[in-house]
Amino acid sequence: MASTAIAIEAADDVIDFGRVERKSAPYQHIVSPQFYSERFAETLLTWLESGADWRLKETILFEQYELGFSRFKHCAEIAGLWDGAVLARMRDQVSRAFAVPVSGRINISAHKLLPGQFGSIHTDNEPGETHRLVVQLNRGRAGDSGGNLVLLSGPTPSHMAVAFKQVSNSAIGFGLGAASHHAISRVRTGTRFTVIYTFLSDAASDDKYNYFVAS
Amino acid sequence: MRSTTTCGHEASDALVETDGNILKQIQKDLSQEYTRFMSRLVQERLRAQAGGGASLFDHLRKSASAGSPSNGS
Repeated sequence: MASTAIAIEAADDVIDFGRVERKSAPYQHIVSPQFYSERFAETLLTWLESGADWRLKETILFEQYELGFSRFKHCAEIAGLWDGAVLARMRDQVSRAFAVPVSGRINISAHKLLPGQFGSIHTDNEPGETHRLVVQLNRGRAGDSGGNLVLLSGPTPSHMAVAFKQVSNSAIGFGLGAASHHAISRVRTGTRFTVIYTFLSDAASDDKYNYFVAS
Repeated sequence: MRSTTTCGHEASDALVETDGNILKQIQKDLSQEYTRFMSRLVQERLRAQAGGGASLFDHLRKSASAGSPSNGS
């Protein structure tokens, strides 16, 4: 009983995610206005800003800096990110919101986009991945700064359906499949940080994915 | 249980961009990237047809329908 109380307290210290709304257009997605606790959001954003070991990925489809948190298990200040109780609360809330059970095997990564970088329209329809949750972290991004997450009803720009404001500590989640078209508009000013939670399917093998486990 | 799941409107509405000028700019940016991608796709298809190799073309075509830039494991 005492250990359960400690786990709940630890999760409270890291994650809020208390309010989640589900939307159906252009496809089912969820939105939460406050994902982390204020204290942890600040800690994590400061960590992302302060010279983490980012790796540049450039393809015709996207240009961005990436990092996977499995390489940073030694960083105690952000360990709450992969705490089992925190991930369990997130898994349960996402499962409830989508009305389907999502896996407790969760890959956690981050993206950093600088001016000029972008993510073209794609689906992320991978057999090993079922849902994605994107948390936006920043110190305020103006409406015209670029880097908006966009959901589309089809594969071309004319299918643009929803563009999200970059409110820091807000989260957007969606199921992955043949119809989950989305994109990141080109960043015009400033730096765009996001933390990405990917819920794995049974098809995700241990040799292809690094992941953390909800307890 | 402190968590609640609702189907309300307020929070998500506050997160959705509604400014017409900004939406226009976002769509313009998406269109530019899309045009660039399709142009590259056509170039690679022609190159594949000329050279008999289709691997990069197939890769690009697959990327358009799938692609997983988010798994920075």
